[in-house]
Amino acid sequence: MDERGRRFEQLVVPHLGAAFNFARWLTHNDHDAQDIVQDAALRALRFLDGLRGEEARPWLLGIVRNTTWSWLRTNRPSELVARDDDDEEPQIPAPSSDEPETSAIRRAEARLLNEAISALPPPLREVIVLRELEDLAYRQIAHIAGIPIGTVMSRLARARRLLSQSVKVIEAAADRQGAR
Amino acid sequence: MTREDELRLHAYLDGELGATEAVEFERRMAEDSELRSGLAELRAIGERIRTQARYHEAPSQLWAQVTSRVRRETPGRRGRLVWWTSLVAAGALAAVVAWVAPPLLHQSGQWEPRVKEVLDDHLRAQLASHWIDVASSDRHTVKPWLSARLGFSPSVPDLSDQGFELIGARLDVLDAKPVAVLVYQRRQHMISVFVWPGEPVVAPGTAESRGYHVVRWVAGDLSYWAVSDLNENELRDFARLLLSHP
Repeated sequence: MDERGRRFEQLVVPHLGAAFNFARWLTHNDHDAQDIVQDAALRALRFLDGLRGEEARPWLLGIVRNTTWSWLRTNRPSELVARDDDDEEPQIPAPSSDEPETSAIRRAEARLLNEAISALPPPLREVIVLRELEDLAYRQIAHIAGIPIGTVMSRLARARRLLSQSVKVIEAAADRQGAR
Repeated sequence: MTREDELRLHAYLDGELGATEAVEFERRMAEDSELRSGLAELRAIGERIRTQARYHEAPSQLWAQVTSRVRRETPGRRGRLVWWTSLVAAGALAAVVAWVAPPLLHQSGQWEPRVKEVLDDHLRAQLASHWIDVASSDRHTVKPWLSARLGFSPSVPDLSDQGFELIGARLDVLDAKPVAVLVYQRRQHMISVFVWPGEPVVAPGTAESRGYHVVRWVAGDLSYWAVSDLNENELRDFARLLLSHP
């Protein structure tokens, strides 16, 4: 292994987990996410000289993001139809009527929240994952997604509003169950 | 609520307002119950997402796949022989990863011995209330203390701004080798971070047992294992913070 390989192992390899999680949230599929991370890692190796002052994690996530979107454009173009912020709202999954008793409600809540995030269109889903799971700043998210900071803010607000609504639906269902 | 105020609420919660702007906004919130209830609602959903959204664990073979492909691309200056050696090494690494990584995960029901060791060590420290050999919230005290006693020097970042208080450090022995244990605290939860040098790149992973979580990762030449009864997402946040403070 040469110097570049060593640099790759030090800088990039620690963030492969974040790369996978991000690609997995965008593709909904372990296998596709693995393929994407492998391609993105090779690109990262090629562009490694370009990584200077920047932090490695957001830098890698930017490469993963571009790799994922090219993949989505080829394989799932229907998901990427451009929407304006005032377009129709995505379908929020409703809780099924026969959820188990209170002890399992928290688990059911977590599952429904994850389904609600999965149901967000990719442009909203990626800002939520980058902000809430990767804890990145607006500036970094804007850089990764290639959008202005103002768009990061409006997408984040919209995504959280939708998730908040779906949580309320879930809680109402849980309350009904508790009262039963 | 105006659109601007809605966006400002998010930016305030995300720590993205400048200091003066934040103070100004807090003053307005004190007088505006609609803003306050908006903030409470946002806080609730944010908390929910951070604790309940799934962090998808990468399959353990991913590390081996990536490192072996990278080694093929970067054969080094010594030519074919090294190329073959590294390929064999990558194969061996893949075998090690395949053998070591799956039992780390709790689905398999089995524990890699190391998981049990670090967990036991954490529990012993808890039972004896002996968390630290050197007490200090000052990383400039802890780091030299550790490097004077060990052949390596882990980074000891100050993460108190992020809610992880540095308590100190202790020394321990794992597998007949001395290891550094950094001790941090979040609310009432203690976190032991075991650090030692010289292990190959293995897949990060998490494990869970009896309400304790273990998160491991590799950075530079050092292996890190964090153990705590903190919830998994927060422990992972902690791991990420350590990783980004080299």
